[in-house]
Amino acid sequence: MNKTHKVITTKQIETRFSIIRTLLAVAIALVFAFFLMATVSDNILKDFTTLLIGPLASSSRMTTVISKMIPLLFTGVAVALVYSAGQINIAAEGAFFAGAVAATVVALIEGIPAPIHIILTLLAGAITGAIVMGIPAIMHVKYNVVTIVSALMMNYVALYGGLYVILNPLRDPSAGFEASFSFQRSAILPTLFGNNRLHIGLLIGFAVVILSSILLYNRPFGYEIRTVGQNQKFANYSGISVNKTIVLTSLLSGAIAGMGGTVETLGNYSRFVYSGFTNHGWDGIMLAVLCRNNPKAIPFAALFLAYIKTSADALNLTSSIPPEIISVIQAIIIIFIAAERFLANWEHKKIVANSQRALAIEKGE
Amino acid sequence: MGNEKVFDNVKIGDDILSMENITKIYGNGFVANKNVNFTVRKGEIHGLVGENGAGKTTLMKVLFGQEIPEEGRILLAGKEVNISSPLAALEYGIGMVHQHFMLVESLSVAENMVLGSEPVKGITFDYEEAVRRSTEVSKKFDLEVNPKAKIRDLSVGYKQRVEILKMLLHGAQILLLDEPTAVLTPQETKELFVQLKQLREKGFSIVFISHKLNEVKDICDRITVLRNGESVTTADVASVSEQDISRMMVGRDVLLNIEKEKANPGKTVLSVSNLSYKNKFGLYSFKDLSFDIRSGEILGVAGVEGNGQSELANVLAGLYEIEDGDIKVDGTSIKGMTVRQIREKGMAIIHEDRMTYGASATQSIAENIISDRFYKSEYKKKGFINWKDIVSKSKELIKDFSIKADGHDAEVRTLSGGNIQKVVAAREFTSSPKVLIACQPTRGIDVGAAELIRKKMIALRDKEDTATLLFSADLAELLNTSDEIIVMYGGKITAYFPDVSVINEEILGEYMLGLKTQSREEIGGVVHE
Repeated sequence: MNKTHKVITTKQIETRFSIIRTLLAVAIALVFAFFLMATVSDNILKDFTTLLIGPLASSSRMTTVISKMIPLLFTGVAVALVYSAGQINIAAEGAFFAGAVAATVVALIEGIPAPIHIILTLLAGAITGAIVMGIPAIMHVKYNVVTIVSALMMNYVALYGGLYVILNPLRDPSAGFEASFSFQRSAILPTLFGNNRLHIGLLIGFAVVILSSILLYNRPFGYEIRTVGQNQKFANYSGISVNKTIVLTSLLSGAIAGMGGTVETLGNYSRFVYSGFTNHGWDGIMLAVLCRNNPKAIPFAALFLAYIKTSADALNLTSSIPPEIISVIQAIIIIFIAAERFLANWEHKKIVANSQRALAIEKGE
Repeated sequence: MGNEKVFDNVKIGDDILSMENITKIYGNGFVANKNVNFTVRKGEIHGLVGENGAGKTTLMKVLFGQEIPEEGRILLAGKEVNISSPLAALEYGIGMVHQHFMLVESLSVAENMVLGSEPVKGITFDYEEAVRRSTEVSKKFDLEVNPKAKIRDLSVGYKQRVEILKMLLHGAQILLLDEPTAVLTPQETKELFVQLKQLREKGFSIVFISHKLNEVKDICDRITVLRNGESVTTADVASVSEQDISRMMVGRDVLLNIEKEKANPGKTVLSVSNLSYKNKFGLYSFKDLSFDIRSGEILGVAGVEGNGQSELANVLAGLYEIEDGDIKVDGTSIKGMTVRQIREKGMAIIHEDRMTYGASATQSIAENIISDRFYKSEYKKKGFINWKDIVSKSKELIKDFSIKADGHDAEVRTLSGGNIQKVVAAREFTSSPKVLIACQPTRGIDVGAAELIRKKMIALRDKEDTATLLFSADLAELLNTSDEIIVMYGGKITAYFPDVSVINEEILGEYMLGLKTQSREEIGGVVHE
């Protein structure tokens, strides 16, 4: 048999193409970015280098990349889970925010010893997040409310409800800006490797990734989630309780997003400082789409996104390029990767050629 | 229409259309047609037969412009043509009648017929002109329709007539009929055949796709057999027998009639009493049904589609709630039970809609096979799904049910219809069912797969004493597989035949059309206790 023309399965071709598609999307986006930057930059070569390898220039920036990645692990997994169940529940943003608020409330309580205090804040964040994402799910299964709309609205309930709590009973009038009272020391997350910008949220985040991946692919409940997500009618006919699966998955997703809000707040700040959406939930949607709802891929995508965000910050500091340009580049990359039909004709030709080779071999034998 | 001339130049009996070396490969790498050659003569009815997945539908889609082939060419009256869309196909005089009618239910016959070339008066639709055109074409071809009737009020056979007329109105000279008799009663089929023969006399060419070999023998002049995407042969129908055709289709001898022992029924397992169901419009889909099935017997349900069978199956499966009446399995009522509880009582269901309910297209064969049992202890190891075990069990079932696929991890969407149904059967038949609800288990699948499924059904009856309720539109299958038959008409049981050997399709047809009804006492015989 001719080794250079080995016959492979269609699945292998599809995998190969999803990798090519991703790399090519990044490449095209970068070319695009180059020309876009050239129109506004004084020193395009220097600035483009910053875009490409800026985050690697110092250990401080590398720390920033990791630090930015942590909350994305939570929101990425949260959205991937709920999307796996076929629910376009986009309330992760609100769950993240509400989780941070609830954690703040608990973090202000005095006199709880450190490890217990941290666990309580995480619990508070998880429960609040679960409520935020759970409500649209319950409304959907009980009253057939369209999830995407109710979830979108839920984000605003979480945002303004949370801000009300922070800016009224919890506001510290002695702070020079709109912020809560300072957290108790016992609630602040311990740091990692003696670096005060890396906290144990990183470890919790990886644990969430691993556990949800096992849940989704190796536990009966995960099978139920995926089956409901692929075909609800089939799931129902097979004896899976569709409504229960949808509600439980949404609660779990919300809990993960809420924990994300908790670690982001208690790991990086000494008070609650947000005055609007943090965008982590929206980023989570993007990550889930890029990873096709597979939690295992979330760390890679989160690292990539954190990397571009750090590049953007670096460019912002060292050049005259407006940060909006970076957002444009980011968007282009996502659009190309998410475009399933991108390169589809080429892929189809490859598959056809492969099938024809398989036929020829079959005939030859 | 310019191409009518092209057709006029061809003499009756000469090749009017030929497809040469057609190769079609789908996006998932599946080779649906391999160098297929296919010719149609003017004024003939040409049967296109083959197992499901043999490539018949794909070939017709290529001809109708719905799929673009990778290789090959199409000649119309000797000239190469490029058929890039269904509109182009119609321009060339090729029309297709799909198995599932492409009609707008809420519109009238005339409005449906002119769809795509609507007459206008100023800027508004000219209804009178549409009616006039419809009447004209109806008269011309001697196919009677009422242009002002609404499609939703018409019977299946009538709708099909509208579809055929619609194609003729658009100038079709070659008609492609995709399994036209699958939804018809024997009487309606006869009527259709008369109409098709009339069209043949007028010089039209008809491609007739069917699984029913007796019909092919009955009406076609020539046949082309496809197997595994290749054209095996083209022959004069007169020169081949049904057995020959099935051998060419499957590549081996097939038992058209399954041999089975007489049933040896035990005690009642499924008991339905005074069951009624109202649809969402508040109308009764079926009313006051009572029947029993005993262990080790197959009760067939005959009936024209839409007489309550589908709703009955869904209620039995637990997908629709029991509103009125009761269903007992082994003496326990299943009222209010979840689907899982009902299945745990020993119920298995082959749903009539296999792509929506029966299988999950984007999941693997193994994942489809375990959907009703993944949570049970024998499929778990310390709370985790035991994939290793599941994969090896799936491989066994793939072999046992001769499922043709890339492997246990092949997504179900990549399989052919017959193989998808085998996946469904591999799940439902292996749950040790006490009761099996089989809805149209062999509809639209090839003779080989159908034979396997019928044999397995009878094996369940004999080896596991399963009580089976078999819904089928294929009367030959019903008569061949069932031990007893009931007929449903208008949501009621109108006949009960405890002995299948004394009846035939004609007798069933009369009850199915509501021309006859048995007495209460006769029907009551189906309640055994």
